[in-house]
Amino acid sequence: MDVVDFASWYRREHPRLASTLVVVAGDVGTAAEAADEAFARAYERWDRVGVMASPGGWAYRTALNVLHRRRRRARLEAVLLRRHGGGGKLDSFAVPADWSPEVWDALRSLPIRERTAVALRYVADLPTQAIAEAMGVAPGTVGSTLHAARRNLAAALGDELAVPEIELTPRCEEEPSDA
Amino acid sequence: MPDLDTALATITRFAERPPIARPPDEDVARRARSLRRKRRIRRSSAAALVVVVGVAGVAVGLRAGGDDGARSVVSDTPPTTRTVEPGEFLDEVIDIIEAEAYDADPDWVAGWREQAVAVAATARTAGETYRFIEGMRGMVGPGPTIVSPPPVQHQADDRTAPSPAPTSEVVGDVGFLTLPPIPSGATSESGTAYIAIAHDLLDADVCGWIVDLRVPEPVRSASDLGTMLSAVAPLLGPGTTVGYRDRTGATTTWDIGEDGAVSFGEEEVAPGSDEAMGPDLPVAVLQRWSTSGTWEALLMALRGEPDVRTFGLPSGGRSTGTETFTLSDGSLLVLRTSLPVDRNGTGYDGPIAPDEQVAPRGTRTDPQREAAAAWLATQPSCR
Repeated sequence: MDVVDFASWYRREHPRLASTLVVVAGDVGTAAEAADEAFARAYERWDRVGVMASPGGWAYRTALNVLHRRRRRARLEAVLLRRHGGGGKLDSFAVPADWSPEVWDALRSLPIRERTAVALRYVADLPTQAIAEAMGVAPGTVGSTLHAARRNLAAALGDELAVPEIELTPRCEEEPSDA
Repeated sequence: MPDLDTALATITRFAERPPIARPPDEDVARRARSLRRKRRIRRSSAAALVVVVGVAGVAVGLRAGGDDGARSVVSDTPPTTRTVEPGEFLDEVIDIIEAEAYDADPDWVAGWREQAVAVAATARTAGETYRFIEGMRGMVGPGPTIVSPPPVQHQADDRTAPSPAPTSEVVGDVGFLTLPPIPSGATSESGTAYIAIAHDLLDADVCGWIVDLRVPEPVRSASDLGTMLSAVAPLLGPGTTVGYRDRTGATTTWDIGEDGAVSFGEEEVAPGSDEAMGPDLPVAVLQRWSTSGTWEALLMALRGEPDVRTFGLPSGGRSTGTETFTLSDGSLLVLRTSLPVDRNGTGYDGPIAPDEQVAPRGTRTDPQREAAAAWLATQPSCR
C-alpha cells in the first residue's frame, strides 16, 4: 500500500477530528491538546500509520485515549479541589463560536459514551465498524449506544417522539459490504 | 428549539466550522520531537550504555542490538526520576503497549484499562503498579518488562575496559571461531578493533569454519548485532541477513553490501572494506539453549546461507525485536515490537532447531564440535 503524504492527510483530517473531539470533550482546550497529541503521535510513527488501511481510525482511537486519560486526571483534580475547598468543576462547556447553543446544551446532557458515539457518527462520519474500533466496543454496542443517544438527545430537545422504539440505523447503508 | 433531525444535521455541520485552528505543519513535527524526547529512548549506535538487570529470573541486556533482541534501543542520556500518579502512569504504559507492542490485542488492552483503574485506586506510587504491568507478560509476547528503579548505568569506557575480541584456532584445515559479546557499536574504538580482529582471523587458510554460538552461561551481557554481523561478514557475503517485522508487516532488514558494509534499514552501521569479503567456505554453526538474543540473530543470518549446517540443541528463542521506552517515573519499559525474520521473510517466534541435534556428553569431549567437523570433512573444499 502506498504511504499517504502526512501533510495532506493532516490538513484534510484536522478539522473533522478536532470538531469531533470538541463534542466528546465538551471543552475546546482539552480537545485541542488531544488533537495535537494524536497528530504528533501519527507524525512520529507515520512510516507505520501512513500505510494503515485507515490512518484516520488510528488517529481517532489515539485521540480518544488521550482524552480518556485527561478526563481521569481532571476527575482526580476535581476531587482534590473539592477537598481543599474549591468548586471542583473543571469542564467549562463553553459554546464554541458558530455552533448552535441549543444543540450544544443538548449534547452536553448526554453521558460521555453516548456523546462519543454521536460525535464519531455525525461529526467524524465514521461507519459503525470504525466507531466500534475507536471506542473499543463491539459493533452491536455502537448501535445500541447511538439509539440511546438519539433518544436522550430528543428528550433534551423536547422532541420525545423523534426516536422509534426499534433501531433503524439509517446511516448503516452507507457502509461498505463484502456481499 | 430544534427537533432531533435538525439537531443531528447541525451536529453533522460542526466539522465544517471547527472551533480549533489547525496548527502549522512544523508545530506537529516539533510536538512529535518533544513527545519522542519525553517518552522514548533514542536509538544511538555510538552510545555504549550497558544495562544488565535481572527481572523474573531472566537476565535482560538493553542496548543497541542488545542481548534481548537486535532492535533494542539505548539511551545516551541518563533517565530522570519523578513522582507520578499511579493512574496516569498506568495510562501511559498501556498507551505505549497499545500503540507499539507487536502482540497487543485490542480486547486485552481494553481489559487492562479496566483493571488498571482498580490497581491505580489502591497503589500509592507508580512502583506499586509494576507487578500489574509485568502481569501482562505472555499476552504481549515475552514482555513487557519494566526496569526500575532506573538501573545503575555506566558508560563503557574504551580506555579502561578490556576490549573483547574474537578468538580462533585452526585444527587441521578447519577453523574454530568464538565470538564474545561486544557491547560497542561498529564505529566505536573497541567495535572497530573487534571487527578487524575477526576479519584477520577469518583470513586464515582453512577449508571451512566452525562458528561457536553456544554462549557460555555466565556471559549474558549485551552485544551489538551490527558489530557482530560486520565481524562475520566474510562468512555471510553480501545480501540480506536478518530482519525485524513490526505488527503492520513492515520489515527492517540488516544487510551486507557488496563492499561488506553493514546497514540496518537505511542506516549504515559498519563501513565496508576489502577484508569484509571472503571466499565461499562451508560453515558449521554450533548452537544450544544459550544461543539467544544477538547470537540467535546471528544464527538466523548464517542459517540462510548455502553450505551452512547447524549442530547442537534448540536455541533460546529470545531473538525478539525489543524496544525500550522511558516512562515518566524514569523507569524503562521493554516491549516486543517486532518479530525476527530470516532473509526469506520467515518469522521466528521460538527456539530454532538445529539441522542436526547433538546432545552434549560429559565435559571432556565436545560431540557437537566433533559432528560439525565430521560434516565439514565431507564438503568439497575439505576433501
